[in-house]
Amino acid sequence: MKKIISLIMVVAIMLCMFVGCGKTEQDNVITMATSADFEPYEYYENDKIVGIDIDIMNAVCEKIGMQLQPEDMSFDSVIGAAQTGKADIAMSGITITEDRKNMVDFTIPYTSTTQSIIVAHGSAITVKADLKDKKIGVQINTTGDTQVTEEFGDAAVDRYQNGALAVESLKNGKVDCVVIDGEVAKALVDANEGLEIIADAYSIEEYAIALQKGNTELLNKINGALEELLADGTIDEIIAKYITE
Amino acid sequence: MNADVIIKTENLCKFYRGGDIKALNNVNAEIKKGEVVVVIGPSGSGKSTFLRSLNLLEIPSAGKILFDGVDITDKKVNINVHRQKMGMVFQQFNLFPHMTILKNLTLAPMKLLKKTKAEAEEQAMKLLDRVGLKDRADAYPSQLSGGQKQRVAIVRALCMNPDVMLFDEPTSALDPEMVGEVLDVMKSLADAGMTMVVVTHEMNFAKEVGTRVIFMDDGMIVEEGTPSDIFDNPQNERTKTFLEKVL
Amino acid sequence: MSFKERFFLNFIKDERWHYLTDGLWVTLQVTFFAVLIGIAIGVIVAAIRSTHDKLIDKTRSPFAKLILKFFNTIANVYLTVIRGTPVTVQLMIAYYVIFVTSNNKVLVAVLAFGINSGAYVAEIVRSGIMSIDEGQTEAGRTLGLNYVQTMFYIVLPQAFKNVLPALANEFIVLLKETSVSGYVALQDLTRGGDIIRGRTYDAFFPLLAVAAIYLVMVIGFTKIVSLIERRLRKSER
Repeated sequence: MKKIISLIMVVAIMLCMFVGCGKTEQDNVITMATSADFEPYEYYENDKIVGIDIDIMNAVCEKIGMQLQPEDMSFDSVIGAAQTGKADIAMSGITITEDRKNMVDFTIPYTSTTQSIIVAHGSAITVKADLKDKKIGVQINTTGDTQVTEEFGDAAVDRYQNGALAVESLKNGKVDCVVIDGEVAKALVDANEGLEIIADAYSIEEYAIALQKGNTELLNKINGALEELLADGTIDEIIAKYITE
Repeated sequence: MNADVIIKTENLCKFYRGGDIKALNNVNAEIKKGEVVVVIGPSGSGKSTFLRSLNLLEIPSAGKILFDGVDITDKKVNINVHRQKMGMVFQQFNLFPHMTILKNLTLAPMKLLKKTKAEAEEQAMKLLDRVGLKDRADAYPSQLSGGQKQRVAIVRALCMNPDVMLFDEPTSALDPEMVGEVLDVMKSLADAGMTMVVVTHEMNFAKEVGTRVIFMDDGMIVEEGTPSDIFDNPQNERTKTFLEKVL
Repeated sequence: MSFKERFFLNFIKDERWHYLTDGLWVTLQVTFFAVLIGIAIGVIVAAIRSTHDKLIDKTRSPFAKLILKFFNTIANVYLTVIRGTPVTVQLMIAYYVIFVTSNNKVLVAVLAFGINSGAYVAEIVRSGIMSIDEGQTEAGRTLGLNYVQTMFYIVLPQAFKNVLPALANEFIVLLKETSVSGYVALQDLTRGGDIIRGRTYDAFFPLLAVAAIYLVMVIGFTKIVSLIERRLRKSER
């Protein structure tokens, strides 16, 4: 009988560790939900997740004396992970929107970007107004997706798993353009022949870090660190490292 | 060729494993119209292979089979047409389990002889009546006893109006008490003048019904003759040894 | 947020339930036509393979031997490739590589899933054909029926009954496999739930709703199959 009880206890302790009771032991670790398919903000290089967001967050962690642990997941799970507290923060080029504010708390914006419109060379689309009645490719559940859906309706949108697949369909003529975050758009156009970004931006966005609602202690810490990093030019340096105009 | 001869085999051979095993070794046989030829022999003697070669269920390795004067081993011959004229009854009955008895009997006549459903069913019922199974027409094979199944199988072959009936150990899978009912049907068939080739272990049937007995061993015909020749006065040592064991 | 509010947010607001109903319709279309294609390909491939296995030693014409071998090789390559790669990858290859110019995502998905399912159906049907006693074929052939007639009237009906449970299982798997349609930007049921999730940041309701709809479909389908099975069994009591 004793044996059985001790066995049950061992199993219970192990379960606890798996489920996350262990978190309390790692108080100085910040888990970061991110979708590492979003160059140059977060992507894989030599099996490691790198990018602007990672570098900024590492700088933040240094300031507040914590360690960063990124966790890769698909973009449509990232905010949910922060909302439920599965991850301490979500940082994945997340644009501040009203809908999202209902779900999570946002830090101050650390950078801004545009939603760009990618077309094939010689496309009839030259300004945003030309998108009417066109087939628009997006990455599922990005702000590009929600904004385009809202403006042009569900039927106008083809939702792809990631930017590369959306661009593949653009090259194959399955969609007329792709609306996606500006930096990603640049990377995609660089990697694929025959594409260009039109001068007219789809919209301008502000990126911020998302936290579970009510986690004000951590929110304030991060905000404080971000303010310092913005003021002393560290964030600009990091961005310049990845994005050369 | 004698006009009475319906099946004739010339130097029929069947080899397995590139000739290592000679299931049939130069078999020359003749079946005449109206004969009841009983093929006997120890197991592995090639008697079943011989029978199954006659309608090309086994493809001979060499030799000829003349059926009604046509060499059916010729690749240009459409064997399906000739098989219609050779009914066959198997040890394991091989009734079609997903069809009623009546459908078992009418399938081939309707598809091949282009009989109407009514014609095919009329003939099937008549033949079923003759074997005493008219009331089982709507049953499925699984609802029948072994003896009943084999009687139905015989009727199924008869429905194609064959010129010859081939029986491959028709009573070997039956419980002893059911052997009689099947042999009775075969006997009445013989009495009606049907040409039959029967592979069997039923020596009494061979004696009573057979017009000729072929004894096979090692893929060859060792001895053949009337039942009384073979059973009462066998010439070959191997025949004698075999008969001593089974009688 | 209360349960009611979340329900409203996920399904009622902005008519979000449309993502589920539209997605369900796509899922049903893709599954239905993929099943048809799967059966067609499966039966043909199974016929080629089992004909080869049964006749290669029996046929007397060298030309027929060559034809049998040729088609059997093609069938084998098809089975190896399709069963050796994940359906998601096949679907993406179909959409991004093979049918590059086609904009009909439903059609591409139907073809991809149908061709995929065909391989599994083929092996199920073939095992059914091979499970039928050789005596059945012999009985048919000695009556004078040709190979095709024997297959059609005698072997296949029995084989079908034997493999019905396995076939039904394959189609249930297929129904659920269509949930990867999102990879080619096709808005099926699963993707419909994903989109709601992306709008409301609520994983609970959309996922459970999607799961429940699949479950109801599978239960309904299983009921129908067991009815058919019972009817078929009746004939053989």
